[in-house]
Amino acid sequence: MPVRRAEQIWDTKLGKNMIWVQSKDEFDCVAQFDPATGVLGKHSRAALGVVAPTWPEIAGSFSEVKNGAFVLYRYRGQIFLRAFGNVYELDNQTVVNVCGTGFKRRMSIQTMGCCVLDMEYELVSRNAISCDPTPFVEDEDFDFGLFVSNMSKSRERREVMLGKS
Amino acid sequence: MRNIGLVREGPYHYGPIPMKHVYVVDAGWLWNEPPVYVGMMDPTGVVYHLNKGVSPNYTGSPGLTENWYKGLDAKSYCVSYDKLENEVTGLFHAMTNDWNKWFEENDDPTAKFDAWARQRVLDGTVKNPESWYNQKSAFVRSAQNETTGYYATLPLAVLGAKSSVVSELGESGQFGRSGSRALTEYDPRFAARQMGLDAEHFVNLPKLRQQYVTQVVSLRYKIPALRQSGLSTEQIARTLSAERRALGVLFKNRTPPAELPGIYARNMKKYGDELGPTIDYLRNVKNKSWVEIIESASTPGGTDMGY
Repeated sequence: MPVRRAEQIWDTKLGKNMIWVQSKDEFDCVAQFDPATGVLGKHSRAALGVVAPTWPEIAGSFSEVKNGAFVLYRYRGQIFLRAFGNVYELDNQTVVNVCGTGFKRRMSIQTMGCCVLDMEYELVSRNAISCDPTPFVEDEDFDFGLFVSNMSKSRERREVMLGKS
Repeated sequence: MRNIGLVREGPYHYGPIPMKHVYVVDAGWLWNEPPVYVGMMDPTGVVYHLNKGVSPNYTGSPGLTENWYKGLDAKSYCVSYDKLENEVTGLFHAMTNDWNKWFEENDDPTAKFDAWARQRVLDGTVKNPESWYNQKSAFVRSAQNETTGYYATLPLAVLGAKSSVVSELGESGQFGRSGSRALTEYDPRFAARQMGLDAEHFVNLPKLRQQYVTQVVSLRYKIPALRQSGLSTEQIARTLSAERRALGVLFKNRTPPAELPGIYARNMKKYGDELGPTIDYLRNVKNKSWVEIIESASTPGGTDMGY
């Protein structure tokens, strides 16, 4: 049986500008994402089988909240956040802050001191387990906004995402 | 490996004696693998180096008073109890290969150690203890190739363990001698302070959780030795990540069975692995640098940690 590569799928069906992003809510879920339109085409890794994207092909991650979806992705050597219908570049001048309690969160994005976004969002679920002995589990795993905020404050993590580190 | 510094609850005894001169000491423990020093003594700090054998350097103030005991196969380093004001210091005991053999033959060191050690001393079968150390270079092994094991002192190996030996003979207090007593007591507040955690928060965690946190933090004390052995940052990250996952397995097995399915299911769904995020996930989804993975590996997480 011939092996079809993931690239062939988006080249032929969704166009060359599509990128793969990984769901942070569900490992089995990956999506083809169009940076131009923000369209997410979700797939099951299990269903994709051998054509599921490999790690080098994953260019970002996404998470769904009650009032939309966040997508953090690299594209043409830069990192972008798509949130609430807009796209923000996550460069050295941009800082994302998140506050809130329970399921309610407020995200603000500042670029060179100017606030370019101040929006509320609501988590779908937290899924954090008290006394969980699982390693490497962090609060940001259950709050994509917090994950983005941490990314914005870590040059090292942005460099890892860009493949520079 | 006999013991990897699991949190112990004391006290254990080598025999009751009246308290005349008090020294903070500890029994030596033999390890088949390098032990992990998880406690930095305060005010006496310990810098840990380990490859084959051990050569810890003691720093800080007050310094340790070194005592050398002839006729025993143990060299003791003592500091008077009152100088340290209830802090823990370590006594470092050399052990012979015969001790290693003893540990191999006995699964319960605390129960049989005292009688065995005494008999060894009484028999006079311990020979040439000076050859084990360079007397002028404290804690530096002079005959590493004479041993097949590794040594750790309990306070260093167990976060939060307070240990003391009371000897009726004072300065001549000989380890294992009849009439000496060692006490080891686990103090969660002390452990929390050693780990830089909020003591009040830590003591309210379930005991199992305390043990897990202690083991996780202990991983950071392996880093110097790993660097010294020439591993790259990525290799260290991969090593610690694997060890952290192994700890997850160890403690998952001690988690109430009723809670396991929920944890496994959550991990499988979220990370694609029932043990939690893999190193590929950390790198490619969370975009963690190798240094951050090292830090994460030795940092306990969870909502109950108050982070």
